[in-house]
Amino acid sequence: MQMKRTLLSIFFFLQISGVVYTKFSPVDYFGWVPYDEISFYEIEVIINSEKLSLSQITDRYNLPNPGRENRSIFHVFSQISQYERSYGMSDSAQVKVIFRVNGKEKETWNY
Amino acid sequence: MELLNTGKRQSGRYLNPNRLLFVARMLVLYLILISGKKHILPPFLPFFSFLDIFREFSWLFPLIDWVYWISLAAILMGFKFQKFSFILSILIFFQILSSKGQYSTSFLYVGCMFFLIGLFQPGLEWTFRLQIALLYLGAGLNKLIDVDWLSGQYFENFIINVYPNSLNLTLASWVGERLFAQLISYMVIVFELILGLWALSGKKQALLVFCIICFHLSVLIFTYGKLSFIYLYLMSITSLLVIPFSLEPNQVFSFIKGNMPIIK
Repeated sequence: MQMKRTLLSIFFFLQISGVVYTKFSPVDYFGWVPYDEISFYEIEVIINSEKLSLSQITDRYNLPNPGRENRSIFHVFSQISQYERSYGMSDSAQVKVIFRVNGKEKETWNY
Repeated sequence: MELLNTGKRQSGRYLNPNRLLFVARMLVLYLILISGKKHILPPFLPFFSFLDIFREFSWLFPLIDWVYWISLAAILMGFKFQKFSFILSILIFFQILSSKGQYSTSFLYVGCMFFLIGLFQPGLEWTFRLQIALLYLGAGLNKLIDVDWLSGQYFENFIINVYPNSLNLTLASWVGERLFAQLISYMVIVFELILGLWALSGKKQALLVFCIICFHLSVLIFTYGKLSFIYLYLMSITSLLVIPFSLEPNQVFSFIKGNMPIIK
């Protein structure tokens, strides 16, 4: 029982930390925030002056393109920048995300 | 089944182990039929970069798949379902942590519920209430500090661009789109916070379950069935775990005698 209580304490502590952390962070992972922000986006990628097709981009980041993000648009940025810093580092890709959060004006994010 | 033999009797009201198994089975059905999670995939963009190591061991994933499917089958058959629920929760946590693309709130919630079912024993009924409370309080608090929720921007976009339908457009035309959107926003925030605090309180839990179902059902109606089906399913099922339940007479007998109650 003691072991279970310890495990449960850690388990709930991590969740509470996640909830608190997401309140001060643009990313919403592990904060129990489903459908709190709806963003539509389109990703453009250029590698060696060549533009990738929509399906190539989908395969590259495992993200639908064009797509919709139901939590935070920063999740999309997070996945793209992590990919470009790791698996795709040698490609030196130029990435542009055109997005619209909650129906507001279009914005652009560049990597 | 050790459920009723280990804990101390505190109030004479225990979670019925058959209900625990029922919920576990329904969560398995969610994984297979609704979310379509049929494999544990190799890491891709993990939350912790060290998990990328597992990409090197491609032979490992068919093996993990076997464990995944054996766990699902064991739970469906009621065979050591708590142990397999725990194993399944670890696999789900691994899947989420090793691939950002696999993250979804509902998938994580299912993992958490399997984890709690796996560790459950009498005296730990509060864990389910705390889990449900965290879900609603996390959601409610996030909306409470979100400018787009407070201004009505989120729901205005929701009604006009994302889920337009004759019901919400008619309602919006009565009071104006922005005011209607604000009203809905505040209602959702208040409702989620109340549900979270109510779950924590542990009082009138059967009524709480009814309100949870009504809440998700209303979202489903509001969007003409396009949103909240998954949450309606998950919350209807898992909220059953917060209702205290007296022991059945035959289980009380088993408890006194120290026998194993039969779980079908």
